[in-house]
Amino acid sequence: MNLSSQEFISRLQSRDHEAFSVLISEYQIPLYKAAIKLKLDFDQAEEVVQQTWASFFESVENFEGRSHIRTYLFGILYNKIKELWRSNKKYTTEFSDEQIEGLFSEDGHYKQAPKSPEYWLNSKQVGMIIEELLDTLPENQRMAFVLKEINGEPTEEICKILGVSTTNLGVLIYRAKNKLRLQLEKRLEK
Amino acid sequence: MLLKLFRIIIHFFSALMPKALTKNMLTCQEVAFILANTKNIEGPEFKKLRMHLFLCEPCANYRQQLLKMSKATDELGNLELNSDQLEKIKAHQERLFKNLKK
Repeated sequence: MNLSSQEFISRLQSRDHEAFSVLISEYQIPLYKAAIKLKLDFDQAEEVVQQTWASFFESVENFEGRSHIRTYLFGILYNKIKELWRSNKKYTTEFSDEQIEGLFSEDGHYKQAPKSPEYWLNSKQVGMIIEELLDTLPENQRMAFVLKEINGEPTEEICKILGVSTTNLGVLIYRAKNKLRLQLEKRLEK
Repeated sequence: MLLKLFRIIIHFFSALMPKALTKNMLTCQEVAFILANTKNIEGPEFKKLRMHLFLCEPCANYRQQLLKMSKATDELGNLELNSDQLEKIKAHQERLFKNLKK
């Protein structure tokens, strides 16, 4: 069954139980995985997935079909996760955007050159530190980084989900990666 | 070691070059932005970038750092759920199906 076909969307909008069941079977596990990759524990993931389906059932009538139904569904999930982050107030900044922009002199050279990562640990340990450091990124940078680098979502989908242009997404990724990179350098320095 | 020495010499002379000669070269800042957003730099459009990386040690280090981070995040992306979690997800799915029928 083509989940992005107009026929399937119409069935969802007319509250066809079978269509809903197909959608739930297809996306239930991917929704949980996406939530867990965004550092939610299993119970939190269950909560946001539950809220996502509830919002989806309520709002599917308004879905205009301008994006894939998956993008629409995951867009709801990511907004729920952002709400949860806000209520938990987990974000603790380490480097500001201004500090990232100030890494270079006026002629575009590094003020402080990146060091060779030869002393960095293996990728599993680097991954564990990155997971821990994600909390230090502002909401949109964290979301953009995880969606692109960990969840592997296509750029176009991320732009739709976050409501940003491709250029803005590039800036979010650039800042997020540099903040993580600088903190890794600091942590793993001998 | 030789490459390192070569890069130091190039860096020294590039600082002395008149701006007219360096205006078509990418700056480290531009390289940093492109590398943060591009994994594959094989194409002809990245010729200038590859040249910069060959000559500039800080940018080469920056790229190595990003590659290490990328490898680590790829591994984070391969999330496997355990059987207990899968059971709970299935139970949740059943509850959703039941609610649909109501």
